[in-house]
Amino acid sequence: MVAYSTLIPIFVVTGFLGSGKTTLLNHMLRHPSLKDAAVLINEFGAVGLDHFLVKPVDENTVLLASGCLCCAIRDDLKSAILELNGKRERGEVPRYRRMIVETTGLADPTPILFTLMSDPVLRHHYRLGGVITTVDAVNGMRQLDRHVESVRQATVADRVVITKSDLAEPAELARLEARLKRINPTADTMFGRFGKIDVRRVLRADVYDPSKKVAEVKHWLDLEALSAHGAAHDHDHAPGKHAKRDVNRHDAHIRAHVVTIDQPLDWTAFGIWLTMLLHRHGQRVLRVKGILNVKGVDAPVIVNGVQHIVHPPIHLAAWPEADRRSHIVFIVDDMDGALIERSLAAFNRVGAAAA
Amino acid sequence: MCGLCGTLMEGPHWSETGTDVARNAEPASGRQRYLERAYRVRLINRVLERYHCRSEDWTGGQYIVRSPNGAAEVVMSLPQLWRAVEQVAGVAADPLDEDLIKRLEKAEPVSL
Repeated sequence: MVAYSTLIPIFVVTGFLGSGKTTLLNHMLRHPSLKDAAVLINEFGAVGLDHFLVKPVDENTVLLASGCLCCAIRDDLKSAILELNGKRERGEVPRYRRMIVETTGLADPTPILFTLMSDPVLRHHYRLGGVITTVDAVNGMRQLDRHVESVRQATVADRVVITKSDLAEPAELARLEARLKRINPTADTMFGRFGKIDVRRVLRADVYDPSKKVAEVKHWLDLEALSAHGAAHDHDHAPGKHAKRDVNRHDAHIRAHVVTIDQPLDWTAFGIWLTMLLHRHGQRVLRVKGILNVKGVDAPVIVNGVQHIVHPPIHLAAWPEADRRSHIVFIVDDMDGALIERSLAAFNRVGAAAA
Repeated sequence: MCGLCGTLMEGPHWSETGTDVARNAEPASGRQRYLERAYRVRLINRVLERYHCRSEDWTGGQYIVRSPNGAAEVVMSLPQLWRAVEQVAGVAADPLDEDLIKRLEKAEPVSL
């Protein structure tokens, strides 16, 4: 069996049209740690990429019969990756160690994530490293108002990069940052100025890289910061501070809830519960990120999901904080966080007699 | 695996592979796998009481879901199981359903 951490990580760069994805990529690819990266792009933008391995991908999405949009298979992407993989194996291209996939600006990135995480052949060679979303400091607010894809891009992000922040007024920038942090408080939100960003910080998004996962999980579950950004910690029945919302916005009902379970979790009961929750509510459960205290397991267990798609669970070497309870952040669209917590506790209780 | 589409994929579902994908652990023994699976089925059945359905293990790799009127489906994994429950029982299998939560809050815990 191939060790999961040795699979080639794929970073997905998404963001609305003109939000600076290619500029960001150009800057990232000059960084020494990305000198051996292959890049797949959906469209050649106005800014050319100067890199040894750049391959365009034609959009060709196959919708499955159920019509579940988040689980559409991107055949084109799969073919492009496998073609590149074949060349790598035959020595026709350098043995790249990372891959970056740039999406089109109008794309909901979830089909791309589904393809990367669910295709049996791809899963044997690659794993999802992280999702980096660019948001234009000047036009970002308007794009979030008008385009649901823009909101989707923010909810699936592990890193949100507010680009062109040198062009925006400080107050405007602060409003955009607050809104993005409310939509997705688990993502690390950072600023790009004059086309430059902190590349190391972007690449720390990879929770499956043993050298980075503790820091990344710490960020996901910074409960104080989550509360400050409006996440509800339903466990204590103390709602966070909420900004006034315009119900006509696509993100008006998107909210993070921190679910806390005091008792150690029964892994079997948790699997039954989460699969049932995602079956019924997967289209409204936009992100799931959590650290679990699992009965009979010494190490904390990390869960990470996007809509119906769940990453394979992984252990952390040690607890990042003294708190040993299970905490799971749910980013949901119009769902009751307290009910989610009560439901998980009820399922866990039924499994409580297990060793 | 997609819970809604039930797209088939190679290998077991995440809910059945243990808690650490990075660990090259020895595969569980046949007996251990049997016990874990039997426990999972008992837990599922405690939930399915709400829908008057039952599940059974089928050849150690699949599940059968049965409704009281005799309808049955064979499925590979938990996400498919919930779809099958809805098909054979004709109701939404919702973990946030108040009645289901109340039942589980009062139910006897399942032993291993």
